[in-house]
Amino acid sequence: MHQVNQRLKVARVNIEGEVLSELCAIRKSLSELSGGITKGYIKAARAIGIVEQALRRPVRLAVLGEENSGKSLLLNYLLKHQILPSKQFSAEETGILIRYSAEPSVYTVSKEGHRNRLTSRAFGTLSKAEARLHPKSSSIIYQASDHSSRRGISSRSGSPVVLTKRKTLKPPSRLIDVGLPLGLLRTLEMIEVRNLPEDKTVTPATIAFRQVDIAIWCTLATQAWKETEAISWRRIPLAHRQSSLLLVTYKDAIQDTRDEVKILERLHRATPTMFNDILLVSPKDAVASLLPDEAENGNALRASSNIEAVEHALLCLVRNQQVHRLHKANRLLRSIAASLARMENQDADASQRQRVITDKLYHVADDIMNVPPSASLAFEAA
Amino acid sequence: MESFGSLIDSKVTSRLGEIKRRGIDLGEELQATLHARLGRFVNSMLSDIESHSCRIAVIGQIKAGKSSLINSLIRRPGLLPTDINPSTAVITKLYFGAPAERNNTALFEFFGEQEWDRIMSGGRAGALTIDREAAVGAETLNKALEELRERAEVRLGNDYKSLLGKHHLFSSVTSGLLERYVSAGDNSSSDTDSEDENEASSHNYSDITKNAEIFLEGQPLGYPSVIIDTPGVNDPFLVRDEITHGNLGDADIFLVVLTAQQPLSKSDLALLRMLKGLQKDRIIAVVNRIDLIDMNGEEAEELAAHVRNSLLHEFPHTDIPVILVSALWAQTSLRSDHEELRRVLTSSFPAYATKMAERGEPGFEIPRENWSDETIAEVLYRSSGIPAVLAGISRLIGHSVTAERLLPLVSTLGAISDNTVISTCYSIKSLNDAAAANEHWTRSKVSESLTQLENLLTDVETTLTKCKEDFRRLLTEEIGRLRRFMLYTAEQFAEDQRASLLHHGTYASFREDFQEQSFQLRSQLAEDFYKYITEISKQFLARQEEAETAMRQAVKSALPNLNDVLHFGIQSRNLPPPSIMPLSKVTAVDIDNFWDSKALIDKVEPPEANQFKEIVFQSFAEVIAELFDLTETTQSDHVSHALRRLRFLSYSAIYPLAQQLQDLVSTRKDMEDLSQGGQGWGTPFFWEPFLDECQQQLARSEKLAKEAVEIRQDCIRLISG
Repeated sequence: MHQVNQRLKVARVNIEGEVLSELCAIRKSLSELSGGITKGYIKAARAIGIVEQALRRPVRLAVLGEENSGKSLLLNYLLKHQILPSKQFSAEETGILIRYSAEPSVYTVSKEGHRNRLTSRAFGTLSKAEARLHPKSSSIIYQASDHSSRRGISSRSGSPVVLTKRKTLKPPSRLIDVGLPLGLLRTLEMIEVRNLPEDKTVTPATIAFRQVDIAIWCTLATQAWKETEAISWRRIPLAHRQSSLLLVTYKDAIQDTRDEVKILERLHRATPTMFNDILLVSPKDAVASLLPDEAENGNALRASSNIEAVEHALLCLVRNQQVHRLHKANRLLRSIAASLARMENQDADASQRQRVITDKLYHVADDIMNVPPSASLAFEAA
Repeated sequence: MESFGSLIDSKVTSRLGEIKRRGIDLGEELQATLHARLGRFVNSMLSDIESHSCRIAVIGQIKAGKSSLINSLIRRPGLLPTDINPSTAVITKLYFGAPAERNNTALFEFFGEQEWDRIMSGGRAGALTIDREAAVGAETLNKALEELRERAEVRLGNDYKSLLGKHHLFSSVTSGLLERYVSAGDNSSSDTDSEDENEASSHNYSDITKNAEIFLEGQPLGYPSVIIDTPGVNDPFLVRDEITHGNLGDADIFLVVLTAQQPLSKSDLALLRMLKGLQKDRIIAVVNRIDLIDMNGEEAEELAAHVRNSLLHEFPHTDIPVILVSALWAQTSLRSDHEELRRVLTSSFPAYATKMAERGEPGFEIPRENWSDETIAEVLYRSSGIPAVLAGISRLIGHSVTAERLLPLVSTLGAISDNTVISTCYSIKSLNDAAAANEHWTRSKVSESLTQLENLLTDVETTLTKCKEDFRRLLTEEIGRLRRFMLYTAEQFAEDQRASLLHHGTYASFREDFQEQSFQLRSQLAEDFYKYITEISKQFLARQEEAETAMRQAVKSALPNLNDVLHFGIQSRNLPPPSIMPLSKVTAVDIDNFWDSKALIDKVEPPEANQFKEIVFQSFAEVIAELFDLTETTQSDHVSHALRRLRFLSYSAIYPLAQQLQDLVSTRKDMEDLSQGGQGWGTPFFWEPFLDECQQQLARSEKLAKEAVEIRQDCIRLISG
């Protein structure tokens, strides 16, 4: 299994390593081409640039749900770090975007879009991620330097950070932009949103939301799917409604497996065609399974939390998204190549080079189809 | 968290019970001594006292654990059906302390045909969606209704319609029975572990059951009570939501059940706002399911403080008790199952109990491994918060509307006794005066007196007719004014929203603003309504006092020798306000479909905005109309109640006089038959015994009057606590 992962990981890196560099090279040589139709070349180069960007952009996952529905715990689990505080009753309206950056950084983005980097006062040090799962402190804790972490995270960047209270970041800041040097975030970046504005006013959170590819709605098993949730879900603008999961959290609160069946049956009836899948999960147990002091029954916790099914479902959605993108990139690159082929350059030399580039582009477009999507959500080194 | 661990305030409820019992004794004795017509009035007062109970409505969102909470409060785990899916589909009233012959019976009333048709057309929400064509589609609702119809057919057969308008009565109460009538049940076909379950789900009547009345033995609250379990609000199936809102009516105490996982969500607040303006001291906030959030003591305190602060914000100047509860722990304790009890010791309970015990919260103890099952069960129950809820309820029973409703009843009985005393005194005095003056009571003199009394009765009736017109005029005018004011408010609101919509330019950007504002409007309307209706009640009560004075004068001028004025007893200081639940009803502009259909309009032009204004106004006008329909019914009840009271209290002084005169005549008639003489009206040989009888009557009435005063004082002492 490990070997397969390794192999696929290498293949994945090829997107950046080969395909992207080839595209980059093509773009470069296009700009070096001259002749009567420079404008056409620039246009083509720009189009290739857009495809590159789209391929580089990580898949974006939105985690949604009412208060205390386990969103933060789920994110913490996926990131394998206690990044977000899970607060029982916070009146939080801020969205949190977590994405890759080489150095840990935290910005607040005000309603007007002003970015404000949080100074060192907002960071502290924390040695280990053994912090409580329901921390008494309302701190965002990020621990980036621990080489001995159970899941084998290693990061060269040093300073661990502790983010201060979320409370103090209340409006006017409407989005917190967290950058972390975690490999996963290059594949899958995440945004946690509660109370997405009901109207069409543009806020940093809604802008960040526009690029969402996959959505997860968390609902409490003990309360699952109320009218307010149904309304919110219907209102959320999503490009791909089928790229979404309904997670029924607090699986641990259900004693009887027959009850689990009952809940799922009701939800399937109540939300037909609204979600790609409906899964029961205990984010709490999933996170607990990562903690060193739960090392002994970690596997049992992990199994009972059903988090693997969630990871699998999420991975499928990510892969679909990636394949979808590759197909789209293939289509786009082919059409760019086709339009390049139609251009007639009077300069024989340039015309010759143009043909080479066009062929190369067709080639890359075909290559792209061979790039396999991510094989796991496991961490990739920063 | 002062309420933790305090034990049931049984003193309050037993005092109230004592007052009630003495009131009944008083009424029964009084009834025996009175003229038949007055007896009937006393009889109706008596049955009012006998059926006096505390009405407790348990409300909250779906799956907050309302039924579980009730099961714990009444110490009957598993009685009300609970399930992992929303379960309660029917308003269920549990009666305690009803007459013994009704105990352990259950009455299930089905929807009438018209009501069923209305539900099938989607209730109010459906009617709005379909009529106005405001919506692009009502598929969700229609689908749910279609499912409901199909399910009813599957469960009850094609002729389920023949059940509509009927009821089922049972002479025993089992949880299985309740399961069949009030639990939403499973409508899945797949999970049928056993034949039995299949059987049960195919005979589920809950879809067509409107009302369930269950009569149970015992008095878990120490006083006769009705506990009303309601289907949760915020149910995706709007119809059920509406049933609840329409039936909250006039409970004495509202237990608002919140869930610890999401305390005071938006829909909780919406529900609470509808209770706004009620007299204070009628709400208890119960934060259930604390077993689900691993809490230590600090967080428990934080949670309670959070809820308390939000409540204070919503209800300034009131002190709504906030009680943290785990119905699960209470039920586990009550079931006393060894395995279950042991399992609790490995749950979040020990940590919570330890922290609370360390903080010195009364009733908590640090759990120990070596505890016996009994000890665990006992500590678990104490820690579950249920005792605190019971204590809170019994406090409210004593100090709030429950006791206040009993006072006028007892007081009216007292007034009747007083009036009997007055009139008997008058009779005795007249007789003595006549004897002293050696006046011969001739037949003509007696009939003259009788005529005089008849005239007085006519006077009383005339005064009453005047009062009736007066009351009606007052209420029609004042309530009409209030109605116009509220309509004006709604119109202003609609106009403001029209302008705001134009300003925003699109429905999409306007939506959030509007929803917030319309939420506030409802709140505002509710507050205005309560304020003015209280004012009107005061005026109405003042008019009643004027009417009492007029009555006194009429009697005084007819019978100048009365040694006291008529008594009318103490009235409640304020009349129970009508329910404002219509204000919470769903309107066209609350429906998603409305906004979805408008979302595509890029730029709102004035005609569109005008149309919107019209829809907004009409929506609220309908709500207001419904509110005032309800108000009119309530107010005309108040009027007829007031008139009845004035009439019979006046009669209570006049009837005994007429009675005595008639007795005199008939006794004399018997004498005449005997002696054939007929001239000796003043002769002492029947005069004396008659006078004796009057004296006895007087003594009886005085005793009753004295007793009534004592009961009344007890009641007042209890209320002012």
